[in-house]
Amino acid sequence: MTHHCHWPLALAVTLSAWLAAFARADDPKLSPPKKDTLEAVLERIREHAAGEAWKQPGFQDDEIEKWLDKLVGSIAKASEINDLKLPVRLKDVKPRELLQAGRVSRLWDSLAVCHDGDWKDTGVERSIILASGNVDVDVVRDSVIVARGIIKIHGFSEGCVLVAGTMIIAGQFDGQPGREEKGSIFVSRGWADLGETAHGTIVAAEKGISAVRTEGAVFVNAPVPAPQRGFPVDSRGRSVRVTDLPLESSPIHPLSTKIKVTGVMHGMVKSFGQRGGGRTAVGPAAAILQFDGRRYIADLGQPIVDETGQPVAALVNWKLHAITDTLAIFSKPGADFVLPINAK
Amino acid sequence: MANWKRLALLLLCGACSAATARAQQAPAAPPVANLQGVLDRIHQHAGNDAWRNKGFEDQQIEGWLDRLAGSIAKAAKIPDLKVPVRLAEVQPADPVPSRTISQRLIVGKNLDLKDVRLQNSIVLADGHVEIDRAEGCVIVARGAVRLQVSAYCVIVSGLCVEGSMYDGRPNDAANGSIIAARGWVRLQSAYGSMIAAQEGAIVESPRDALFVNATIASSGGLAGGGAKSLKVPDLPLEPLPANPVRLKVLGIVRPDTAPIVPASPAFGRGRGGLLAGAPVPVADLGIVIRYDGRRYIAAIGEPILDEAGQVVEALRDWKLALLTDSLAIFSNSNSDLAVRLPGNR
Repeated sequence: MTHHCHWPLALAVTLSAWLAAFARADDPKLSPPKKDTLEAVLERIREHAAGEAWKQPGFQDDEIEKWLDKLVGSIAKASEINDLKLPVRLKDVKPRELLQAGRVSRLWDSLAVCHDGDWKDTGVERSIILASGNVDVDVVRDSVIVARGIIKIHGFSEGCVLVAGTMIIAGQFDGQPGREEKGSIFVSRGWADLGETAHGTIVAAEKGISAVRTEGAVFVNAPVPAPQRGFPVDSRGRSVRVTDLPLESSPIHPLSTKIKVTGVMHGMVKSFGQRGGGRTAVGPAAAILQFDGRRYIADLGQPIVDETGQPVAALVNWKLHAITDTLAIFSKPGADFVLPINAK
Repeated sequence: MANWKRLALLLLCGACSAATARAQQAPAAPPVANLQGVLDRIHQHAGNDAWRNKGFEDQQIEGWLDRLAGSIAKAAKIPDLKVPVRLAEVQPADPVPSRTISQRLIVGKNLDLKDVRLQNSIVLADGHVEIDRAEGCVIVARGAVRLQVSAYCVIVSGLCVEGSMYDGRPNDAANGSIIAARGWVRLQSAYGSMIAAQEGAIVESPRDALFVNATIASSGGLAGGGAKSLKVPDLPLEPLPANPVRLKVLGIVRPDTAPIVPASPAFGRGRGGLLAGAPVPVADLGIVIRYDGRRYIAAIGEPILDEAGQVVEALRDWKLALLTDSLAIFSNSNSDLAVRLPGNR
């Protein structure tokens, strides 16, 4: 090979490096994940999602399960709920490919490893989902979900361990009325929204927990929410201090300091799940953003475009993933950030 | 001869007097054919102070109102149905907030009377009107008419009428109003009301109501007892003019994600609920529109801006005037534009 044959290769390498640098320009600079952190678990999930090993029978990942056991164990000890444990283990489930899983209305005794998992119309039972992105499910029971970004439940949940790198958005309710042992464990490095009612739910979310009404909930390293409009959120709720919780803080994305959400557009949106799936009704459909001196309308689940419909270059690949009562959650492959909705 | 001359002089003087008298009277104006003619006259009156003069009359407006009431009276066979108050019976007045106004004439552009109770009065608006209660009144507006309670009125709008509580009196069909709009009518409850709406009427609870030139799609269940359709072939109400600007409303901008529900009986949108501790109704901030292939946000009462904050030139004269439960209403200096909100029936 002559010397001059190398320059296109060099150019390609330089170009790809430049493109990679450009793509990461808005990403936080993270140091390698420390042991016993969620970040280390998420890194393993990212590797699994990129490969095929998890599809082999008998797939195991002791590191992930060990961390999950430690997480649940630390909460069990501090809250004095001795029978608290993972509802399902890797040895109990069989791999299920995403394409196959996405076509079923019910997923049970299954393992799914993916980037984004879209099961908005699927009930998940006694299963494990490991996602390097976000997960949407309809109803989830006795399952473990670990996702780098956001876990959103469209229906309801019970008896689960849900761990999110950024946020958990519960559905209509978690647990069962009068059976607090059916409450799930929600652990998030960022935020948790407990939906309409949470029965016996154990929740850890350093950045904030939002709850309308809970019954016998346990708030880890956080106070029981203050009464709202004169009514207690949970008269039997308690706060526990878990000093050895193996959970680090959520990284702060630089874009989160540059964008403001100034309002919510209520438009026609399709609902998902067993209770109204397929119906369209007026609901939160987009967030109004102020960014770089301009006002944009970010539609749920769509690329962020300008008023003419062209992608906003500085926000390419980002999507508005979800809107809660108080927060707008943005996501792109490998990163998320959450902003308060502030119309003032 | 002297007598003849005297007679001739008298005749001449008489002829001159008659001619002078005729010259002082305004020539009989042709009747206005439709509501637009009435609205044009209101536009003129709102632009000057002639209506404040004693004895102010407008036979063309009153003639049209008489024809409106008369056409319905004839078709419904209610011979004593008539316009409840006439210009000769009212005195000019400026709107005063938070009080009861009786036997007054109010002429203006956009009239905010939402804290005012009107009795036996006439309101002519070259824009939109909001009123708390009206009884025995005539209300004619180019734009939207919104009120909470009305009875025995003639309420006419170039665009739409919204009543957030009721028209007429419960269990009494004799006090319903004539409500006519080139666009839409939306009422919570109607007792004996006579409703003509060229683009459609929605009444949650119509009792003994007459729907003029309309098919009743739903009687409202048990609450809809006695609602009838009435054919009025000579109704002097034209269709809604075509929208001068073609735009679509994509959504309503609010400060939060709380579900939008009609905030009856109060005006506007909100989270509703009258129980203690219920959330305070949340105001809309504006709407998202699609116009000429682009999306813009129109804030209430503000110029329509592009994403960089510059006025959208083609919409320079237009502002989002108000949002009802079903419509976004844009106005410029002399016309209005109503666009349905998403998710509307």
